Amino acid sequence: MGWRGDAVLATLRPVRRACIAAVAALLLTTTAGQTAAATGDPDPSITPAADTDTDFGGDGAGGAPAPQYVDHLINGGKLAPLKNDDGSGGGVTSGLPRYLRLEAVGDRTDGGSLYHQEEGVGVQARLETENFGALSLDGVVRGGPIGGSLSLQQRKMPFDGGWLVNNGVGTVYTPAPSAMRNQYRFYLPNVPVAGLSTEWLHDGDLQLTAGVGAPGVFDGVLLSGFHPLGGVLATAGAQTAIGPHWQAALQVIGERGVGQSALGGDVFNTGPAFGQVNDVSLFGSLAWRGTYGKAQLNGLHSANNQGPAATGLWFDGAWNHGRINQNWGAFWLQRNLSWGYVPVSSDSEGLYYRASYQSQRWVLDGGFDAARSISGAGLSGALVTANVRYRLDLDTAVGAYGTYRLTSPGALDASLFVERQNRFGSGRLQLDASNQNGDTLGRVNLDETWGLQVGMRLMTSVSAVFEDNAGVRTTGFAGALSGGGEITHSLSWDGSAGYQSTRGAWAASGFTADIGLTQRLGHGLTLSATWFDNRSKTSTPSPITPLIPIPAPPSVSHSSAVFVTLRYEFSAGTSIAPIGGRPGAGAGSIHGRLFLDADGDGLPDAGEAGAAGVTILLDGRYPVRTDEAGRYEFPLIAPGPHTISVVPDNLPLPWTVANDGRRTVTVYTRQTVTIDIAATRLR
Amino acid sequence: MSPSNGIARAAAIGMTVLSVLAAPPASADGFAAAASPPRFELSTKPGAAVREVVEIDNATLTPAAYAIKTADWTLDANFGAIFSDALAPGSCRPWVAVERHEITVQGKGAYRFRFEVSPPADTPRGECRFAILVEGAPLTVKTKSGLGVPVSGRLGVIVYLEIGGAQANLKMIGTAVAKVNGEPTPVIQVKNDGDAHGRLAGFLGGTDAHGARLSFAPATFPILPGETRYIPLVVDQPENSPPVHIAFPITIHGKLQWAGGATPFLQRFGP
Repeated sequence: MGWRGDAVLATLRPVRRACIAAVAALLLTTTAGQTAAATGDPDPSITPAADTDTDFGGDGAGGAPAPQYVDHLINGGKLAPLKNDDGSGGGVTSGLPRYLRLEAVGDRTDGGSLYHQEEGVGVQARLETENFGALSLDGVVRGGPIGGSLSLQQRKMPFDGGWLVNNGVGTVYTPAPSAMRNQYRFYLPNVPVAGLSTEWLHDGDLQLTAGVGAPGVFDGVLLSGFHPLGGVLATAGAQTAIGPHWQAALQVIGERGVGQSALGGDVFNTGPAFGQVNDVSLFGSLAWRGTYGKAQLNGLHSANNQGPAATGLWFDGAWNHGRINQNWGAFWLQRNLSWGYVPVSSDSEGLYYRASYQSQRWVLDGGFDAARSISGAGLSGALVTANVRYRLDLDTAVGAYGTYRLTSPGALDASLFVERQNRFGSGRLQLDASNQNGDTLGRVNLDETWGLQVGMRLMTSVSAVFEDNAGVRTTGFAGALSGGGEITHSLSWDGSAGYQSTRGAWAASGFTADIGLTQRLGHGLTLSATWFDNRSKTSTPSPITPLIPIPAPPSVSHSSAVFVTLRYEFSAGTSIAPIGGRPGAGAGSIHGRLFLDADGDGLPDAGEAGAAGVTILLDGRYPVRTDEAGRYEFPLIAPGPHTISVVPDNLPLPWTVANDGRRTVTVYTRQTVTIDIAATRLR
Repeated sequence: MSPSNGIARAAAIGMTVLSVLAAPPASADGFAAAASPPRFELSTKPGAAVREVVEIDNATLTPAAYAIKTADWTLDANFGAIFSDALAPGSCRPWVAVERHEITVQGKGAYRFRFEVSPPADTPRGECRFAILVEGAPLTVKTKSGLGVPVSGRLGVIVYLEIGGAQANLKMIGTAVAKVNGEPTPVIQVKNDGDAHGRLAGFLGGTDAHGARLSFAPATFPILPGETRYIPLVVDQPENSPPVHIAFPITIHGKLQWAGGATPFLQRFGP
């Protein structure tokens, strides 16, 4: 019994093993007879190369070649090739990487008093250039009060010295330093503007941002349109490394004359606005990042003409090592805090701690959050959460989770569950219980994900509910199913349906369903349509008198929606890496001419012929041959120093090149360097 | 061969394999194909045909022609597959039909290739195993003696087809401590008395002689019907963790599982 395969694989992580198995699918084998080779099976794929080597030149079996077996053919080999999932027969690989999506959409939502209709067309295009980063165009034209949008963006345009630049024009989001975007607990929004944005990044140690334009809002169901709010916005900032593990960031945003939102209400949502809004906000942070931990102190100050200025300070820390992850922090956020005209979390102070542990069998996580209103006008309280899941074996897991809210009144939610692989698929039974201020709720829920043939899926869920609201009892039942699959190779469906009914004083029933069909029309075209319907009926408790029962009419609601999309998608191209570099990192070029310098002045004169068919080397390893006029070119090479030399073997006699024509030059991004090389006559 | 000696050889051979894979295979220029999925584990009843699709991707920029054929295979002592073009005794390849013998895949393109297995109605319960080989055009390389040898790049997709409810029946018949990549490792000897291949899985745990609590999982190598194999118990630990040095003796307990079966596990490893 040997151990070679065991020994190799046993030292590898499972994921890495799978990757190696996929790569190892290729081994060299002799073309004749029996051989040992890697297979697509992950286990036998790590195969001793020695087997292959010893088989070279032989039949590998040590005997006479066995008779060749010829496989049967399905339908006599006359099956038409299957199309790829996108309906195409294969990708177009020539040219630069590019993508185009055109779509026409229409949707209508009718919910009685709520009616919404939307039609429009959208375009997304992207082109990855060799030397100017990735260019993208996003545009929407749509009807209705919300207008369209149009943006042109340039991502990761390389410059010498390790700079990458992002630029945007049109309806774009304002830029922000990464310390501001990568927040764990609090979200600081990017503000939409119709204008310009730019971001300069230098090797992870410096980031400069700026933007200017007319602020607005994006809205829409299937297509996002931009609606300006009036006024003007400007923002600028920087983030820089101030030590091996330290980063500092600063960003300021200011607006003047911002008007009311087209969506209704004032921009601060704090009450009637007094005319136009003028505001300024300043964000700053100091961040530390180590091998396993990180910490960040943030500050935000905002002032506007709608109310008092506000300040916020918050700290986030994290420690992730091995199986344990921990996050903690504290915050103090004054009322009316905002970033530009967009409100953010405010009027709150508190702290939090969260931890999680994960192993083969255990998943444990929990946390504690405590917050209180600084002004006293908001909510205060604390929240404790705990979650545990334990795998009894490969087929069965049990778990529980719960939350306890220490507010007035307090509330407790708890759940127990068991999950098990069964002969029909995968099932989950869950018991929920909650209590808030004496109101109790209990629920039993059974979910099953059914194991069907490939390409089909079905999930079902049934539940029973019991509620006691201050002595008024309600029982209920709910059932739902969702699924999807391929009807034909080009037509697929997705859908779901659910029904729920409760009995008692708060009697209600409801039905909701949706069905979607997607037809691949070929040549990148897809037509999809989704229909949604929701019906409900609710009865409120009636005052009960012994003499005159008052029947309360049930409240009935019905809403439906239809979404239709016709989409064309096309992608093609292949990234090209410059010599000595990687795709998108920038490139320059070298070209020139190897000429026969008849007059010996070192310059190519009009009457001096080129040397054809001679090999020119870049950095001693990348060859190119001169054309009939002696011209050569290295069109894409990484910025930096490069050496050109000549392999003089094919030079016509009596010509030669001194020192192999060796020349060293520094090439900068998007720069073309001309190097003419003179061949001199042997004397 | 003893397990330890085999494992010592395996480390060196494994490095050779990886270096072959990592280096540009000059003699196989032009063959850069991949297949998805890399393995099929199917089931059917006697008389019921099964048709599946394997996607063959050409990673090169230029169109590539591939020859496609089935092969019988066995596993060597290192779990490496040994393919055989000739029909093996009892082979189920006569039940197999493929879409075509040769295909051409565009550069950076993919081909959805169909194959079909039709077990006769009187097929007894058991497992049909074969491979689909995708071969590139032959190239010629020179050996040390200067002779030109035809060589081609090739990949194999293993197909397991359980017929009539065939199942593995795995039994542990021994234990040992052996060096895996130079590290003493608990291993178990497992025999498959069933009529289909099996793979061990399960959650195992133990406390070593230094009091360290460790979690283990059996390596998921296939154990073919009638075969007996050594299976290492691998320490489960987070990514990027330093290697764990087990202080023997260690008692490992838990449950071993495979498709269609399970058994409780309690074994002591080491002196």
